[in-house]
Amino acid sequence: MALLFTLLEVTPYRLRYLANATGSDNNPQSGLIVNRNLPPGPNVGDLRFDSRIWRNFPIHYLVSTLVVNQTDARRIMQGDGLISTSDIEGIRAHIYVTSLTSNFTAIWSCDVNEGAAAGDPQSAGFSVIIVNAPGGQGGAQQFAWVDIDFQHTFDR
Amino acid sequence: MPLQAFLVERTPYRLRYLVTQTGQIHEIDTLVIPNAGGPSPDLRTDASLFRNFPMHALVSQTIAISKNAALQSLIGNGRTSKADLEFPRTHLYIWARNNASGTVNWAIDVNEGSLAGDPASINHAVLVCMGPTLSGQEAYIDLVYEHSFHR
Repeated sequence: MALLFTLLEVTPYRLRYLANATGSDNNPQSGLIVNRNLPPGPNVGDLRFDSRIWRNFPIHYLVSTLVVNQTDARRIMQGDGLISTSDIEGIRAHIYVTSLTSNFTAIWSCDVNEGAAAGDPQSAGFSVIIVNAPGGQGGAQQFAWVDIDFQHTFDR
Repeated sequence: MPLQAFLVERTPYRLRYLVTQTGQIHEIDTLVIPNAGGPSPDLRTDASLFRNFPMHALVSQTIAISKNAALQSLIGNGRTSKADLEFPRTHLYIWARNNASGTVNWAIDVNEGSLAGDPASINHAVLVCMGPTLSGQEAYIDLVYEHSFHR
């Protein structure tokens, strides 16, 4: 069973999802927050579609930025590779995952990739978020928040 | 050293490192990110690109040889009074970028350099990262300057 995502919050500078590992599998579960710009089905997150109400604002601009590979996606979604003086004005976000529940071993994690490379052809050319969840321990569900925070100033 | 850190982002107010477990070890691994003005990764060196900005001033502070001094200087531990409001500080976070079944969690702490085992960083605060034992595990460390008490 894939991870389930519910959009919890959207502002011009933030998207927040609730991720739910259903506990139906004791192995770590993996899921994508896609970027298709299509009405998502239930329990699916879509970065462009979910931020469309802020169409002219930074969060929507960020997730609508074309990327060619994982390095590109990490640069704009995680700031990865921005170390020069001229980089301080570059567009970027930071993604955080915060566990709401815990078990004894595995942990939540998140990464980004270009859509097609991550296995979602409908998101080709755009960044997607890969969320890895711990397996359900004895069928228990696990929950986490996934935050995409737009870095609107280099003061942050 | 199986745990390795690389500077991946810096602004006048943030240092972000990617930490990777490069070995396969059998106990919790520890990595010190020093503060001695040496080659990157090094807090002072990495912040020095923005030398006149607050992050560089903060990590350059001389502190007593005590963990409490490092915690107070770098991340504001113990600053609980109203008078402490204006003291500079950072916040420190660690985020896993991948995971594997059975791994332990990442952890991040602060210490004074010589107490953390890096004599070159004596009298300066260093970061102490503890990581999982499986090769290929990755995490981001964020050191974020609190530029306003509104945050």
